[in-house]
Amino acid sequence: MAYSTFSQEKNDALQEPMFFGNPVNVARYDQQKFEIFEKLIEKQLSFFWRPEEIDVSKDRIDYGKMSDHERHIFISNLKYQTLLDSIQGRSPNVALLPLVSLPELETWIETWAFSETIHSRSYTHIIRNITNDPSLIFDDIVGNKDIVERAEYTSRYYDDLINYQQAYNLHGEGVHKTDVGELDINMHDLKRKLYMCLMSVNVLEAIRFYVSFACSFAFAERGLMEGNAKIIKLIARDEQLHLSSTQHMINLIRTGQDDPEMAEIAEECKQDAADMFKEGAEQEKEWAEYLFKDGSMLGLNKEILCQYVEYITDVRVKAIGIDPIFNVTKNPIPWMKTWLASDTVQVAPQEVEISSYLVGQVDSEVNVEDLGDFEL
Amino acid sequence: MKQKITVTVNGSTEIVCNKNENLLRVLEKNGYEIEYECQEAHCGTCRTIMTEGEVEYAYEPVAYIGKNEVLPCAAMIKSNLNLTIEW
Repeated sequence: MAYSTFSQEKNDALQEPMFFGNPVNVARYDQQKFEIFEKLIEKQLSFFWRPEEIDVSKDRIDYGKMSDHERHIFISNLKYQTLLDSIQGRSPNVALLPLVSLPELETWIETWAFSETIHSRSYTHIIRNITNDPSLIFDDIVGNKDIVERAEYTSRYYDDLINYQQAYNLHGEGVHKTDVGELDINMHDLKRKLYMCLMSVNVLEAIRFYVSFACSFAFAERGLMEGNAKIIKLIARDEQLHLSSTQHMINLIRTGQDDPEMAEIAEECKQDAADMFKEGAEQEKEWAEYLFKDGSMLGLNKEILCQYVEYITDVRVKAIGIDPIFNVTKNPIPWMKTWLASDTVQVAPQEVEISSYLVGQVDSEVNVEDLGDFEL
Repeated sequence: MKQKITVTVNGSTEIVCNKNENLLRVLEKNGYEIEYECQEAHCGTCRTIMTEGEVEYAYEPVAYIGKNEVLPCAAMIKSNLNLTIEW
């Protein structure tokens, strides 16, 4: 079953499952099997923003005044987010697009991955501003054991799905020798790998970003690195949408509204999915420990952050039909809500420099030379 | 005169409020700490069980809403409601 970018099989997309049906041939949006993906596309497009719209120049001064351990917290989070979004900017396209059978879902996946590339660009925008040599930060990412371990856990499920589907496309069902060892290729296992991959992406969007978000917002609560916090707020809003999309995919599958075999697989994988969330939460708690190894920051410490991870994990697993894991019933960081609310993305102009005035602007600096052609 | 509505929580507690009030605000005013984030029905964090009643959304929800579920953050109360709040 070789993959084709133009399947000439005439098909009715309204009768196709989300994945593993006929490949999408015509990208049409006049009709949708699952209208929600069209709504997600529209919402994501309405959220469009560019990093250059946000002035981060004051952050350079704040960063210069930070203690070494606060810089460690700030930079480590940026590095971690940079790597996660590097993976997320490419992987949904590479892993999921060849399997999709619905036009609206295909376009949602592309829209989703594109918005992740905006996030990656925004990290460069932030890093360029606070350091004269961004390479010192970027070059350290792949060599940082604590960052790589967590990112590898997410990329593993993508890679597993990609390698398996490539072998399936090349050889079809049966036992085959491949570059990654001997593989017993069958559709059931391929579907299982897709489900676990969606689950690992869900873990990423649901809890992995939130430790870093909390630190960024904690700095801003003290009036520090506010430009960074504005960018992270926009990223968090996008991530909420991405989280909803993977929750939709998982819930459509597990409640039997899509492919009946996938619904059976979801039931088979229920414990594995719960274990994955637990492991993800434990890794984020270790990350909190790494961040605060040289000291805490005002308003946030390892214990509070770990409780928050447990709390948010329980909220997230309940959304996809898994019982709470940690039974933490109270949010230990209530001020996070303020930063995660969409309606407060816009701020009063007198409070801070309002970012919406800068929409569409590429460069906020005006030099005398720029006015050279002016005649009075 | 504003129409009064009753929101019943966990089968026993009865909250009287006005029609069209925001459900999240009504619950918060009455001491229920519902976790929420976006307040625009796109993240689904506030998802709550609603076994009876009718709401209208101030924003079109894009978060997943299962059978017997409601997103209080963007829900305007339209009729008497029956909610189950687990924590």
